[in-house]
Amino acid sequence: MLKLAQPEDPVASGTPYFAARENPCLMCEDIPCISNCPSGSLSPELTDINDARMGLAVLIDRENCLNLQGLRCDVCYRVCPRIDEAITLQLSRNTRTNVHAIFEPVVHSDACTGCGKCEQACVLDEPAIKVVPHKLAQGELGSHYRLGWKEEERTGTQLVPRNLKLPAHRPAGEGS
Amino acid sequence: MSAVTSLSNWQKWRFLLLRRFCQLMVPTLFLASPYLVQWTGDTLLINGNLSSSLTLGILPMSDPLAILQGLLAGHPMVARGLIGAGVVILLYGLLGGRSFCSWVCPINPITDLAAWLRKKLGIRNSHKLSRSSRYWILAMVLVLPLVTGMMVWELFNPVSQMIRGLLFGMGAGWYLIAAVFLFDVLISTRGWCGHLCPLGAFYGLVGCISPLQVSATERKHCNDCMDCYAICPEPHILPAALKEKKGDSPVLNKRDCTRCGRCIDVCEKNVFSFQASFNHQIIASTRSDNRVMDSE
Repeated sequence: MLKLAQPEDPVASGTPYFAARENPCLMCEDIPCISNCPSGSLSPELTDINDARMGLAVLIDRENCLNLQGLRCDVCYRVCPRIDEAITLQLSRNTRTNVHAIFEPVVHSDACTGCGKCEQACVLDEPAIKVVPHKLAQGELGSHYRLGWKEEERTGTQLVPRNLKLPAHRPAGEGS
Repeated sequence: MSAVTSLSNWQKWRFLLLRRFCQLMVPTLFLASPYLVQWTGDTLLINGNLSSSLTLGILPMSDPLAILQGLLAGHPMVARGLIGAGVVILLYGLLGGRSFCSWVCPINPITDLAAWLRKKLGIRNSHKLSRSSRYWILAMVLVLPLVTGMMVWELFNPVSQMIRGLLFGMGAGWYLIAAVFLFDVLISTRGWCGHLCPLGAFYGLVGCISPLQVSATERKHCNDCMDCYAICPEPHILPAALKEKKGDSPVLNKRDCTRCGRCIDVCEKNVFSFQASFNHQIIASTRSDNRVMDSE
């Protein structure tokens, strides 16, 4: 649930914000906070709470996450309102025992609303998964940069022709 | 207040008591609303705070100065906020403009206490501020959002801080409130409400059109006991209304008068009274403000 910022809080005094560890967003389907906002600061265009982007959950501490140590905690995964969409479990071999698996919680930015339930539920004393602003959580590819396989998907042609003959540069004096 | 002898206790204190009751009821109603839902039928009696609220699910009210800052900062407002600001301007346009200051504002009891304490402690030195400072500050409050795109004043506004603090938790907001209190006690008499507060200045401008006013109607009975000067938070407005020279209107300056009614309370000769009329000369009594009693 939202709380109002006091002057010493990290956001401007009087601004409603979530302290996810104490009280995450409950993702009410009727989004009452928006219908009650008199100024339109909470965007009235948002009609499906699943489209909300309040931040992004990030598994910040991989050293202390129980799942990454080969245990089956799974709490963040199970409390996620968009289980298997926003957080999935990714299997890999547990190289410590060589017989067990590691179930790594992986957050997907296309589905995570940043509600903070995972941060609230993390069983550690200080949560290993935290909701942070998108700006902090995500990188961004330069707008000019093209990924070859995606361009091919989009246009049907290759950016660079296959079997392209590139000039060979060898040290002078070596024969070809 | 030595001259007050022939008035009953109720007459001497009625407007102060009514005001304190009104000031107390505002946060009380906000706080009590969640407990009253069983009688108000699933809608909150009043929801929000003084920055913006919704009464019984239908009547929006918003702080017009806050809404204006938001608009100037370049944020489009939704209808509820705009209608709410209109409702409040209409309300105080009818009920006396700065009546907000003395009947609703949660800072008023703090600065009244400061003024009382100042008198009790006999602190006489007061830093002189111009009564028009508040209009310059108001101008700044409106220009800053234009320049910065932020509602800068709302970061520091002790009025919204106070009511938010009372309803949702004060935190470090106490420092702000304490600063206003100490400023009024130690540095300048009636410094905040009477000289600096831009919200008061804003409601003062709204009050210029208000039909509700305090008038020294019976000024011919005035015996110069000075009780009203001692009690009035804006005493510079008194001479023009009390003294009948140059055909001045007996109406107290509608821009600066807070309609607190204390002059009505303390006046033994019943010189003052509340009047509701559209006919009075609106600015007749503003002739000498900002100068005459500035150094009180």
